Amino acid sequence: MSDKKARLRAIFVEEANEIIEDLDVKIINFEEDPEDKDILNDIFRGIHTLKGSANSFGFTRLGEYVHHFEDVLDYYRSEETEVSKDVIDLFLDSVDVVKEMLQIEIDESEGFPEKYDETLTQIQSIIENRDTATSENVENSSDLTEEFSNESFTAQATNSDDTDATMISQCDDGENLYKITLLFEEDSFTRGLDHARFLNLLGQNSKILSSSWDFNSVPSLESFDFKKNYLSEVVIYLASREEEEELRDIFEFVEEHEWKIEYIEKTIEKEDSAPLAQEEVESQKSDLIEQPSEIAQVKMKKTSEVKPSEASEEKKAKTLKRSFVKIDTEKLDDLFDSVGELVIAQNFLMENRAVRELEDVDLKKNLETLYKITRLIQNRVMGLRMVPIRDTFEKMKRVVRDVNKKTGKDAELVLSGEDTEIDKTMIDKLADPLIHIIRNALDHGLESDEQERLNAGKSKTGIVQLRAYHQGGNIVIEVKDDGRGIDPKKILSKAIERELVTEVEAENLTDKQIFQFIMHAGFSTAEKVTDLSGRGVGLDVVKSFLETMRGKVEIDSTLGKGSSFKIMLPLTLAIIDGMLVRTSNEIMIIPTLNITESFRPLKESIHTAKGKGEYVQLRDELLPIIRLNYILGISEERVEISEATLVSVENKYGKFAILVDELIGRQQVVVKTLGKALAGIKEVTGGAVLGNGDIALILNIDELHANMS
Amino acid sequence: MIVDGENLIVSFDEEQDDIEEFYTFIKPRLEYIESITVKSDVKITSALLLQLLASIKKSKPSIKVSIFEDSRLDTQMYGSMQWSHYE
Repeated sequence: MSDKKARLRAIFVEEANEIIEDLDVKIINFEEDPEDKDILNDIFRGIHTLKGSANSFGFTRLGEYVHHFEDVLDYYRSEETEVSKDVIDLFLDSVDVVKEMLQIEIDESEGFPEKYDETLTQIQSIIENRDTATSENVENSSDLTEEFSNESFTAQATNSDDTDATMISQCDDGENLYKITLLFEEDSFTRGLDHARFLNLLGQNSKILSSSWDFNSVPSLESFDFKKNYLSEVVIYLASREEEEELRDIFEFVEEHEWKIEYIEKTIEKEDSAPLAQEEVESQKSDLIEQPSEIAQVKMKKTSEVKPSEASEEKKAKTLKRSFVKIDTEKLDDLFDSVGELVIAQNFLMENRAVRELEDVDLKKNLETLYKITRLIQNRVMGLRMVPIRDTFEKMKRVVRDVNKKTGKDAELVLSGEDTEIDKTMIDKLADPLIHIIRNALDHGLESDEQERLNAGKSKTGIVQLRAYHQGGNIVIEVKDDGRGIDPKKILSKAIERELVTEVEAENLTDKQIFQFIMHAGFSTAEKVTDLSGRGVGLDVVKSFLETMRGKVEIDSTLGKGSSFKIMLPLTLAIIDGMLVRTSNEIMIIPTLNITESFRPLKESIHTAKGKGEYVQLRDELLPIIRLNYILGISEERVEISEATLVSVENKYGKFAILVDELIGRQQVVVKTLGKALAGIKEVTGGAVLGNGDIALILNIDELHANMS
Repeated sequence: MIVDGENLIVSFDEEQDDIEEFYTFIKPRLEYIESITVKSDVKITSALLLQLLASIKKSKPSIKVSIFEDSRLDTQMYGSMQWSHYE
């Protein structure tokens, strides 16, 4: 395969995955709102596009299947037939087949997905019924059917949309289209408001495409009053590279009700192709890159009129919508690395003694500006990696639906905080752990018997809430159910049975600590192991995920009321918020996520247990003490605990205190991976270059705890 | 404003004083004026001129106002200018 073909194939696979990825969510959304045929049309469009492209790239088995899938979708979007639960099941099963079929095609393997025949039979049965019905009502087809039956369709717009379409076609690349309406009052001329003046101001930096003047209210010459404005409405279409806010400035002194601005969104959709020869596809694709206007369908959506006060938010959203650019995440990582280097270099400069001793006020001012700009760039580059968690959350709807179907339960998923942003690299890894937690909540958390829920004064439908929010410097993802809750006694007994804890140790454990046992591999109290959960595998995956993501999970539960799993993750993996501490002459970084407090202990609060180490009494807790210099082999020096500082840290297994010589301060550092030579040191997770050029190691709290044990 | 027999010539860039003068001139003479030619390749100074021309057209529909001869006027500076309901 030539490079060009391989590249195009890769583009197709990527685009196909994007289309398929959204299908489940759209189908579930359609099930929730079956009246909204736009959703079904959207699903149809995706499948239609997939069909054309699949055949073009020689993925004929996939092409054939989606062709049938398209038929059944077409039937339901064109008819008023009710889409039953069984049909939704068929749609979702078909999506599964499409997913598997694509993978089979990519792998160039033989065979068909498991549900291929079953779904195809169901589809054919529906189509046969359709054919009978269609012969009676041939002409009852939707607009979209006509749209897609026409190989080179163009926007069929009328009225104002027609004007919009014409105007869009006159915009050059990079230009935004605005519709500005002047509704000046009768006395506007005496107030200095003249339409011509605004027309000229708008035309200064933008291109006026058209203006429409309404002379309806202009009287005959006899009644003409020179002071009055009779132009009830002047509509201007403007192609501009300026942001809406800049245009709004022109109308700063005009009353709100005397003008309005609308941003006309222009979305470009690639023209869908019928099966084409490979060469034609290649040629079409390259044309698409070079001359988008020629083979693109211009489709526009007119945004609703906006009040100036709402404009900023609305515009921001619109700008986001039309500004997406696909960038390889590796390139973003490279960019971030470079910015990290820039921050470090800038820190060197600021910490340089000669620079600090300079008394040149201007130079200091410039350095301060440099510092601010560097931080700004760093934050903005960070922002590039952040994406809303919405898509991942939406995918969980399918999980809930599938589990409901398998268990016969009636559970509802309630989402909130879907716009919370999280690092892209983390979002990719978040789906699997979330699926496990949600399955657990549905399978084990919720009561299996409706009557049991009703007797407990709960609704018949079980509720699983999935929330995301920011807390401190972290993102929290919480899965909360209103089910039967977790029995700590049952967990503890199982933990003792499996020798995870002794009976004596168990006496001092809090409920939260007891709940942590369910995160152990193979730990399951489920009496009945199902294929959904109950094998103790799922939560172990969550644990592994959290370890790689430097996050933690907090489990809380009230028997009879429900349980909550709170996943706490850093906002990004590239930067860590850490506490710089000194031990002997080395600087170390403790992630602040793990720190609960720091303190200087009183002599009487320090205890030594022979053979079991040193402890400190902190209020009603007895915390084991770790001497960093010992554990890391830095020195043999043994300082008096009462003269040192203790940092109380917490991980999933509990709390302990790290003894350090000095707390230096809290700082955000750019995490650098350690080279192969240091990769074997489990007690550190990475390194960071400090402002003075020194290297500091970032401590791995879990490993320190394991080492202590 | 230029008076050329039964034809008047005005320009988009007439100042307000000139527009007032034009109004004062044409009001008593409307029945004698056959056409008005409007120079449209320059900046419009005031919308007053446009509404005055619309008023003239409304008062005497038979008068030929160059910019209103078609329902739209294509200009270099302002794109396509469209008029509604001047009859």
